[in-house]
Amino acid sequence: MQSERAIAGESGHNRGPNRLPAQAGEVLDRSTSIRFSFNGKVYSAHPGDTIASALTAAGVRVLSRSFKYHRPRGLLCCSGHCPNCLVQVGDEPNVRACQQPVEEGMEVQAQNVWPSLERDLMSVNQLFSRFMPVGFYYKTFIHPRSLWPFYEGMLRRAAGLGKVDPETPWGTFDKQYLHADVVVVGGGPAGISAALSAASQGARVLLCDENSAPGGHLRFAAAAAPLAALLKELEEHPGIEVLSDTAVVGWYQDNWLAAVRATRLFKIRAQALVVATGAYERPLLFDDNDLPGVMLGSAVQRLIHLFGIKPGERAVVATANDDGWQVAADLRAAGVQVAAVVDERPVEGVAEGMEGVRVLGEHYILAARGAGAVRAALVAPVEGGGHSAGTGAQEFPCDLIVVSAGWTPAADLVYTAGGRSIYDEERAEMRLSDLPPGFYLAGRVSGTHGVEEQLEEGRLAGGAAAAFCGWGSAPEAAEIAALEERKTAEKRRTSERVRAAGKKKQFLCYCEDVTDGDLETAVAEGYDSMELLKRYSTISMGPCQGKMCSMNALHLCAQVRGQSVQETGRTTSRPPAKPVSLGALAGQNMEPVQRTPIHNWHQERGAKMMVAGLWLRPEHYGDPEAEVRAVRQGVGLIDVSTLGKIQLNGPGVPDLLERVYVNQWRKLGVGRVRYGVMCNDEGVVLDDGVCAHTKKEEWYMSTTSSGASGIFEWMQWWVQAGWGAGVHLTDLTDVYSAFNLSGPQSRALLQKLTERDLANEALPYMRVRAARVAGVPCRLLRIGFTGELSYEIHCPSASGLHVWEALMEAGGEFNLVPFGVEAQRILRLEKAHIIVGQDTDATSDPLAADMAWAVKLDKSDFLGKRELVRVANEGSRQRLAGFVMEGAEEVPEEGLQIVERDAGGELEIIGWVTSSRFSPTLQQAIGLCWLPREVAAQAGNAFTIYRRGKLLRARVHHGAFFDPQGERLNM
Amino acid sequence: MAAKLTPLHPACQQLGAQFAEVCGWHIAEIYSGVQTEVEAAQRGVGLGDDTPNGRLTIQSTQAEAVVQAALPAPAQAGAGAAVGAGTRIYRLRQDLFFISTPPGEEEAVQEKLSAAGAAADHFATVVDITHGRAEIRLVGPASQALLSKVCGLDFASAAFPDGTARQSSLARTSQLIIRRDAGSLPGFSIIGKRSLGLYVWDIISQAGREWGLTPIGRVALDLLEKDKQSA
Repeated sequence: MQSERAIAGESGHNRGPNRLPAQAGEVLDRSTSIRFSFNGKVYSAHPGDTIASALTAAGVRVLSRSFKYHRPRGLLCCSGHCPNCLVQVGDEPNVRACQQPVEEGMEVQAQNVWPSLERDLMSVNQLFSRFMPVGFYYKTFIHPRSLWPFYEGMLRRAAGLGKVDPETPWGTFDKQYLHADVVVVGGGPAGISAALSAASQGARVLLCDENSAPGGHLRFAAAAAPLAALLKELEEHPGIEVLSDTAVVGWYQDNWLAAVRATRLFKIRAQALVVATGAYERPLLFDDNDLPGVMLGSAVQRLIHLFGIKPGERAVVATANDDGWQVAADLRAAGVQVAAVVDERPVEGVAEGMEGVRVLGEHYILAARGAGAVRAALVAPVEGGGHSAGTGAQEFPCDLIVVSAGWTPAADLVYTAGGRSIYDEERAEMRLSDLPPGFYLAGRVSGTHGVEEQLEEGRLAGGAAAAFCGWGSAPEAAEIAALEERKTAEKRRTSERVRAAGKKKQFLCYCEDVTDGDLETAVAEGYDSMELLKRYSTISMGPCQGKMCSMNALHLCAQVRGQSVQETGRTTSRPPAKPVSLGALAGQNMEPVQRTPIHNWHQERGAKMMVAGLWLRPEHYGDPEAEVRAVRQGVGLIDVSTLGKIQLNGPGVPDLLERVYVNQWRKLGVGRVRYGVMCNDEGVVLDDGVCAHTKKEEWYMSTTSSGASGIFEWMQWWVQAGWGAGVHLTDLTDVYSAFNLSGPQSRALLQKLTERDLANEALPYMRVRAARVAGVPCRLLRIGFTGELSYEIHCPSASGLHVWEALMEAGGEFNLVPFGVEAQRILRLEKAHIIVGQDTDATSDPLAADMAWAVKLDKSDFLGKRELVRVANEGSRQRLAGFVMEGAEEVPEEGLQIVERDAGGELEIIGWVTSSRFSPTLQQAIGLCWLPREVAAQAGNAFTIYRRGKLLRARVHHGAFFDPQGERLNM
Repeated sequence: MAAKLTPLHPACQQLGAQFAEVCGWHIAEIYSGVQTEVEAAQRGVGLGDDTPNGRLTIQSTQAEAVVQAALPAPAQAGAGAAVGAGTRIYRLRQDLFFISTPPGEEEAVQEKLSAAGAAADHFATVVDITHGRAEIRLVGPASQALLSKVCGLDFASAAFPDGTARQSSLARTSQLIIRRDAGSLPGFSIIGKRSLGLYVWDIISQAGREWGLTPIGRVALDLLEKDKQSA
């Protein structure tokens, strides 16, 4: 920052050269100043200033350069709609300077300039504009094809505005859900009136306004008498919540709204909606209509009344309605010399307050003159129904051309909600119709321009919206009819003139530098519907999203084609109605993570954690092969709390189990455990696990970790679908922690912590018992996935860490090691146990997956039986089989293809590898794979795995690779 | 037997909680000071760990009759009925009730319910799910606004009055949200899978920063609750 004396535009009273004396209604706090920089130069501002207002106060007129021709651009709309004031603030590109409040120390840079805003060498593009007509890039950058990489790089550099620094720290974004009976969008007089009306009938009202305070155009109107009273009433009403600086950017079915305020996305559920979004002031087309110094009338009023800024020294006002005359009066009151008021309409007499002003009725603006900024305005009489050849043109020296010639309804939400537009030839405006239920309009968006009429329309719309929600009565038909009469009697506000008869560029689209000539060319080339024009010329596809250009483009297209505006039609509106940052859409990072009660213990012991579904699990503690050896030779402990656990109660449970599992359950006695496989009704393997018969009419089912929620829901579905007689299900997944103690020493270790007799005869394989372990009531299941003597200990989760630590402590003398998922995968592979979802997929049936032993086709019925009977009769094409590699240490990656040569010598895919590891126990690479059934049928059959251009040899293996008789389980 | 740990224990520890044993649970009793915590909750929003509360479910097509028979006659065993000192009954489904008890009382209540079901010869299943849930407590005037940042329900008092229970998605997880005011302060219990407890705690902590969310211990929570009883 420079010293205070060097602050640009600062005078002795801390006022920029264009700052007016303090006035009522302004948003500034003049008691203090803040500083910011623009392109490295320091400026002063008051709290309440936007970047644009502060720069305008300091005499800065050029804020940006245009996208294609790099023409200088200055403030145009001052309402956050046009692209002319897009700047980079710190690391954030495309900030609208007219909306962004200045903050102390803010660093602002112009975008799309090289090397500087004042001298942008890329503006040389203008000299070649005849070689860059609309759509030139579609035609130019396709030949020769070999140059496309060059073109692509060039186009990528040229595309977009501003710079994104990938090193920018993450911002804080979030979202919030809001609910209301009636949501009013727009805080102008109609919106406030609607909110008050709805709330007075008892409705809960939310008013969203994209401006910093409610009031709408009354905030910058010279005679704002009703505003203070409206605001007081609004503030005091307990049933109304006001969200300022909040833009509603999307409408979805049933009045579900998306709104954004800074970094927060609101999702709003409204029963009824009143859209009072006002209208966009429409620019006019004339030569060099983009010169800095050409501004819309409402922009000038904002500068004067909200920010105390004199927008120029000498102005020409080009208008076609009474609004322009009010702007002229405001300019004079602000000390601006009004050189002329140019009205397309006939003008009789001199309006009050306009004495001494040159008034030209039935005239219009032909051109702005100047290089880099407005120097003069060229005006001409209207001839031949709105067109003029420019005869009788007069030039008025000025530094400000104010355009106030009509309004386009801000109907983005209406269109996305399915509303239709009907062009009113009389008023040269769109009228909206076909609104969805609970959707009401009020104010300028509805073509209502008079303040009294806006207030009345708001009152009626608010009342109707409240009544739609069941609060009070809807307005009487007579009241609505009376308002319609008053609206019809209103003077026309919008010019139907399209463009001037000039010779230079008349910019239709400020975002993309599309001119009237470009549009004519596009239509001549056959892009003659609005949708095609949009896509070809990119008109309305820039940052303003058509707010400034769509109606002018529509009028011009209609004129060029010789059609009516209604026949020409408009483009489709889609959300968002305003630009939204991706951060706001993403919101707060919400990625659920499930942790077991032992999570911190694992981390403290250096476990490498892995994501399994939503769970975090230890993959290993440093050396998974050592963990495998420990389990085979001594004892290991794994945290399997992630397994799904479902309690089934009731006399109907055996029937349910018989139906959801492919194997038999009815005869399983209390205290016994059985492995089961579940299929869907197409016979595809869904899940596997064990189910224990714990008590009379109580069963305890485990599922895979990934299947826990899905299987519970699957079972619930069948229970509710008619198989639920006498069955209650409870998900106990989180109620119990579970640990598997596995290895030849597991019994001796566990016996130290429990009084329950663990001898093989007392607790044999596939049995369940209740037992206290380390003083905690637990369930012991004599089961395992490793092929070793194993106990699964299920204990209440809040005592999980205590039991785990007790086991670890007691295991010291046995060299107990914790083992992770990777060791478990190796151990189970040595036993050829499958993992559902890894070794099976969405087409795998249990017969093909080498689990025919579990499928009892003689049961009366079960899920998948019909399909499995067919498979049993016809046979499977593929079969899951084990394999050993001929090169003992060459481990093929999971997913590799198994190939064979066809008759032509080409490699043909005949299978794939699903699991593979080097077995530390066998010192051999082993795995599971899907093979054609004839290959899989015979152990020892050789086949080939394709691996990165090499062909690896493997042989089919049947059964477990280690301890095939299962002797170690029954120790 | 060692004290039982809540899933939020590591977070409470990191926040400097002083722990005490309550009905066999190791529970955060005080953080910055009781008065400071109470005032923070009254001003903005306080965040506490209520996991030691007992939690039961009863499933039965005659669940209402079983509950009415087992527990001191609530006028209507609907959502939010309070029974005795601290036991509350919430109807989650036609055939499913959720019962919250003070810490350590779940076993006795379970026995009563089971006995009532057996006596009436109703097929009723009562399951103690205390260990399977994390219970996060939010108390304070900003609690409704905070929850609206993580859950799509309407938390306004008219739509979600004291005693209301709703099962909903909260921060992309399934949670049971119960309105439990503390005195004049709005309050909520957020009950979900134990394994997700720390994640939900973290999300709520982040979401509540703008209202000065403050961790509150058992003592401050009790004081705020007593305020309710005297109110």
